[in-house]
Order: sequence, then C-alpha cells, then structure tokens
Amino acid sequence: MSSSVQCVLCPHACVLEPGQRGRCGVRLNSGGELVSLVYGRPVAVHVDPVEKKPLLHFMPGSDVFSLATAGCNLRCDFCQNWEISQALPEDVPPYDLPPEKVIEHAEEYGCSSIAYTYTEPVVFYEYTLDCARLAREAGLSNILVTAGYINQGPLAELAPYIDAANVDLKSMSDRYYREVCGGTLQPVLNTIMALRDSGTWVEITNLVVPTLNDDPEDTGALASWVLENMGRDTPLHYSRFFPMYRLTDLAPTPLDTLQQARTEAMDMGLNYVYVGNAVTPGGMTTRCPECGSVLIEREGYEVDIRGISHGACDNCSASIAGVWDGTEDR
Amino acid sequence: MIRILLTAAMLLLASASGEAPGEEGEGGWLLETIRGLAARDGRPWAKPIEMADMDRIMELAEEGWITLHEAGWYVLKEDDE
Repeated sequence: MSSSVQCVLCPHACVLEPGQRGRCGVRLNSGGELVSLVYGRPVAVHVDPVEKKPLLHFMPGSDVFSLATAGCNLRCDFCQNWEISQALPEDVPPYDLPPEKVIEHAEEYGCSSIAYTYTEPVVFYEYTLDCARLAREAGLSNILVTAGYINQGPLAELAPYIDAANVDLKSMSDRYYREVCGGTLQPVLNTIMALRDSGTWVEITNLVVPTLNDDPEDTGALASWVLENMGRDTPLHYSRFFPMYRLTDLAPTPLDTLQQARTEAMDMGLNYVYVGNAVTPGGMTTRCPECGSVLIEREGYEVDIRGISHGACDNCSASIAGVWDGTEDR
Repeated sequence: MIRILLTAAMLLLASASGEAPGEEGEGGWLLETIRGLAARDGRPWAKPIEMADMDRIMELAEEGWITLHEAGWYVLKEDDE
C-alpha cells in the first residue's frame, strides 16, 4: 500500500500523500517514494560574471556556469525570477543536462565555477549535490545563490562542496518572512552561520523593497545582525528592487535609500557594503578598510582590479577578506 | 482562498444553527470539520501542498520533460502519525 511521506529537506517539512507535491512544486510523492521532478532538467542555463551572483570577494572577473530548475520553496511577492521560480516543472521547457554534461559545458566555456542560482537550489538539491561533487573532482568551484530555507541536515551534507554562497537575507522580521515570502526567518539565519562555519565564503544580499523593509531601522537591524554574527568582513549587498511579480504597484527603490543604508552599515563597522542593481557613487567599489585605497572598481559587470594582489592591499599590505585565488593578479 | 471561503460558509451555517462553538450536534460537527481543515495545513502563509495530475506527470516523464529521480531527505509516515 502506498504511504505518505514527509520531506525533511526544508523547514516546511511537507507531509505528502501519494500524488501530492511539496510546496516547492518539484518534489512529489510517487507511490510512497519521494522523487525529484527536475533532476538534470534546468530551465535556465547561462554563463555569467561572478559579480552577477553577486559575489564581489570571490575570484573577481571570473566566469560562472549558472543554472536553475523550475521551483522554489518560498513565494516572495517581489520575486525577480518568478516566471521560473513560481512555475511548475510541467510548464517550462527544460534542457536535458545531467551533471556530467554540466561539468563538460562549464569547462568548454572556460568557467572556473558552477553556480546553482536564479530560482532556489535547495529545491533541486539532489541535482545540485551531484553536480557539486563532480565539479569538485574536476577542480571547479561551486557557488550557491540561495534564500537559505533549508534544514541543517541536508545543508551539512551539501556545504562541504560549496566554495561560496550568496544568501538572500530578506529581512530581520519573521513576520515579513511569513507575510511577504511564505517562509520563516530563523532557518535562514541558521543557514548563513552554518555555511560560514563550514568554511564557505559567504556574502549576504538584502533586497530593499519600498514601504516593506526600507525603513532605516530594518536595514540597520540587518546590518547589525551581520556585524555581530558574521563579522565586519562579511560583504553585505543592499539590492535595488524593481516592480515585479505581485508588487508591480511599487516604485523602484530610491537610490538615496540604498546609499543611506550603505552609509549606516559602514558606520556601524561593516567593512564591505555594496549597492546592487543600481549605479551609485562608490556603491560597487571595494576599498581597503585600513588605508581607504581603491582595490577593485566596478561598473556594471566590468571589473577593474587595480589595487589588490595576492589578497592584500597594494598600498598598505592589509589582508583583504575573500577568496582571491590569484584571479586578481592577472 | 477556497479554504477561507469554505470556512466562512461553514461558520455562517454554524451560526444559523444557533449553536455556540464547541457544542455537540450538527454545528459541532461543522466546527470539527473546520478545525480539521485548518489543522491540515499548519502553514497557511506558505505555498499550498497540491495534488499533481499524475497522468500528465507520467506522460511528461516518458517524454523526458520531467524526471522521477529518487530524492533524499524524506521519511515514510505511518498511517497513525
């Protein structure tokens, strides 16, 4: 007789009767066994600059083979990739790309890393894990771009293969997570710290949405958490919102709001705070926290590495946090 | 949304029967049903758990559009759990 199953991959812990799929839309109880509907079936595959993830302290200027399947375990009203993240796998034509092919293509296109991104790699966990294992064997790095809504057990299994992660910390309010995103806050905070503890290079992105989480108290609370729990060298990205999905009635985030959030976070003591999805003075520039020299200048995804060598400031030799791996020495 | 409408309709029916919450009888049955519906999804703010169209799933799996790849990180649930 077919049984119900409980998926314990993410904090939703969906209990599924035969024929039911989880909240992510891509994990299904098929005759008493949980199956993934999207293994090896990405719906988005691109070569991106690493700066697009965004990761600004991880092998700058390098190319990343980036992929995503359909599905997400959250339902953020502002989702910037909702056409694929909120879609069911039946509704989006996929590529047939088993893990071996992913590695082959990444090497063919000269990418040094593979990114599991765009939608939510947690929901295509088995595919991510198998690709990441093969990538590691092939000498490629793995990048996780995630909302971090995953349980600690599966994360512990995956994290040793993940070299860098950008975790979307949407707010410090649990209410915001429930009402705007369909999730909860604490598991995300746990993920960020667990990734850090596993040795993964972690950067954090906060999408600043007008009227929802753009109050200086909100952005300040988030910066404060990063400072206290991750340390001053963890890069924080305040990202600009553009009207999308269920929030088309809101205007894009004013640039002043983003700049103010950045200034306040740096005044608190964070060394590397950036403004993403927007052009603002200095918002994408990495400066030495010791002497203030410009280390890396960016315009869009153009990168000018001008003041850092072997992970140290050319001017004062201060060590700069990140994974540089000689990329900046080119 | 359907669940909310159903709940509202049941509450109307219950109030029309003149019974207070927790009373036995037809109204009590309605309230029990409402509680049952609410308990079925402890995360009303999250995306819903839905039934898949298994015929379509199997058809697409045969075509290679989707997979039925064995997943990890799940447990079997006993009937009384």
